[in-house]
Amino acid sequence: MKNIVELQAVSKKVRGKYLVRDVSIQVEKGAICGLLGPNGAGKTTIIRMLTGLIRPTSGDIFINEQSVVTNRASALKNVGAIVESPIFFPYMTGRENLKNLVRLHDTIPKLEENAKVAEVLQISGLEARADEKVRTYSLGMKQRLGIAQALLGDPALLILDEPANGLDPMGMRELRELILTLKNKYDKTILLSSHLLDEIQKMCNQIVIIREGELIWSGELDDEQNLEEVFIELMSK
Amino acid sequence: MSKLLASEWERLWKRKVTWLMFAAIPIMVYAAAKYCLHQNNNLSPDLPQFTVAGNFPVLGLAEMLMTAFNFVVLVIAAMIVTEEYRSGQLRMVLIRAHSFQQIIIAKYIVLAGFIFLYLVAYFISCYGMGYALFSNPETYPQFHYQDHVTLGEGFIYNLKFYGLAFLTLVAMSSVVFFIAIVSHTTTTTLGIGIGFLLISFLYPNIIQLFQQFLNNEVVIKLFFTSIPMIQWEGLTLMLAKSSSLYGWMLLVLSCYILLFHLLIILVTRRKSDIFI
Amino acid sequence: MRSILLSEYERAFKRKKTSIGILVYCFLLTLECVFLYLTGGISFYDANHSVQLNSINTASFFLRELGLFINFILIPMFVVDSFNGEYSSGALRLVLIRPQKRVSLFLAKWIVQASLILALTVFTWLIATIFGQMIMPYVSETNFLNTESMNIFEGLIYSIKFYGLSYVIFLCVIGLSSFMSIVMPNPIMAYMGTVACLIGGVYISGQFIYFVIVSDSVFEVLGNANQYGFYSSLLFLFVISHIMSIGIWNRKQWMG
Repeated sequence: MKNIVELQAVSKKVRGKYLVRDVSIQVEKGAICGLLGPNGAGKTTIIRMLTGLIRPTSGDIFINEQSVVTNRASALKNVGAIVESPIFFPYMTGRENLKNLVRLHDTIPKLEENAKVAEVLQISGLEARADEKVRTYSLGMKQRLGIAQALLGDPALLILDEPANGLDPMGMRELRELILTLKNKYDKTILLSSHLLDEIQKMCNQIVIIREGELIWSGELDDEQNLEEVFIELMSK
Repeated sequence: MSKLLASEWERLWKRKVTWLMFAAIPIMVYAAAKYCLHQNNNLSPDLPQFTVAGNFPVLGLAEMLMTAFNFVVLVIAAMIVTEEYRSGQLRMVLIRAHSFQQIIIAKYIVLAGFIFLYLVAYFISCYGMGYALFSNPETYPQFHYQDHVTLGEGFIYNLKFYGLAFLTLVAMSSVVFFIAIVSHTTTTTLGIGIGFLLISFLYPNIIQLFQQFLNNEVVIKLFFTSIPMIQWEGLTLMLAKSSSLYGWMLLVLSCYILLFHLLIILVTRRKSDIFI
Repeated sequence: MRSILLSEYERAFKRKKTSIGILVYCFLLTLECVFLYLTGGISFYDANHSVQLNSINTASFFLRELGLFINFILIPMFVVDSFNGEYSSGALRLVLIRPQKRVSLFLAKWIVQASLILALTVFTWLIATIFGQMIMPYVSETNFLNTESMNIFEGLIYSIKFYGLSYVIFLCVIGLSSFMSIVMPNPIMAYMGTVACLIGGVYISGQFIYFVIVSDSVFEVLGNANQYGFYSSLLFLFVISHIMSIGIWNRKQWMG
């Protein structure tokens, strides 16, 4: 199977300090890949580079074989993302936010924009409160809206930065089910970052662990292995 | 309260903008000096408008006071009130058992302290720049004074002038604080604040056009209901040996302070529980 | 590009501030009419030249006071909200991760601001012209500062040129403000930087007084004085501020 995400020896240096150093990651099509690491390990930096918000100092990043570094706009056609906390335009409703953003996808024909917005609202389970101003939303609802906006362009790859932040246990379970549905029913590849080991173990079939900007472990876990034990062992090394 | 004050004061000085504004003082003083030097070319040295080292602190402040200083007050208020309040940063202070009103009072005092230091720094820079760039006669003419003043007398005059300038800026802070509390974004605060300043510049000039219909005293009194006009021309009149307008301008400034404090109390009383 | 523009317009007009700003502007425009009427139709070319307003020349005098409001309040507020406010709140990320060229996103923002101010300028010209024709004393000919006598038609052309040049000044303020918004970390500093540029410019060279008193400089230029300095400084500012803004925008690392 071909790789949908490929980071080739990517480094990011800011003011003489490496935030990410020589990281190579491949994610196969159809995978749910968990990006794990303690706070400040470089997870968000990697996600920023993947979404073209910042450029790597060296190395290259490919999404569906298109370089994000040299060919940002077309590489991003395959990506939907939540980067850091889900922040929206607070003076618009959830639906208005989505309608506003869907216009920025040339692949969605004008006449289908409203249908697309309705569809992603339905997938993310936000229909009931879609017409309220975003400033009245709870963090959990903003996370859902975050997923909804990530789905707008029909991307093959979803990048979700800490999507479980701010969710209660019920919300986490619903999120897990939603992510699995997205993979199984909608055929998405998902790259998500988290520090919740339990959640990652329940969902992901591929795991990447980084610490202090460097890749320290990647692969799959078999059923007997406990992620928490693996993680703590790696961190204490 | 003193701990709250200390924490507000500390946070103000943790900001780059605060330092940037202090760094701008020499530039402002230099710009004012350049302007005064330019004016001197067309003035006779026996006019009080003619700049010498002794009166530069006053002449170099007059124009800056109603523009740059008011703007500095506006920026600080936008920063410590609107930004902290609307971004939710104040929650961290509020959960430490302070009421919203207490926080606002602390911020107001901190702003007044900042203005005081700012004026002191400007005063000292002016004396430095004044001696470096202007002539230094032992006596010089003073606005609305018949005799020349000595350097010592001039120094006392300058101190009084800065004291009154401080008062006008405190009055300005009251207005600006009210604007900062009711505005949802910092750009709104700055926009409305500058609007207030522009209107305060413009309406006194419009009033002057109606001189023919009103008697002179009323026009002058109306003219000096504007804070920037008090800053621009009023302060020298207040310090004139026989000033009939001293009381009027003090009254105007106190009215601004009282009125806007009252408004602040009104809006903050309803606001104390709407933290979202 | 059309859809990016649409998205940008939508966001601009969903901000309450935009419509309130425009409403306040309309209110001030009305006030300007009342003011000119009450003063008996006296206005000024500059501090030394007063002038009696009439049906032909009135339109140009509206920007004396309104220009201040546009340069110091409307443009900085709108531009900073669009170019810096969205970024510092974090919401701009939602836009930046879409498959669109960076430069298109910049252009869309710029076009929205420029067109908004254009609409206000044209509207002001229209109201001012109608007001002049209907309310002010009728004359068949008049002259402007250092110009030959003009009839109604020539006077109309003059006022169109006047508003055109004023609009070029507004565009430069948009350029300066967008530059400040892109390089400054937050809206307060962006607004502060814009105002500092507008006022500070006057201290650097008297030429830049057109940012503060729009109309005086334009009257001067249309009276064939100081044309070289006016056009060259405006062109320079316009080109430099936009080249730098676009350059930095395209290369910017969106860390925040």
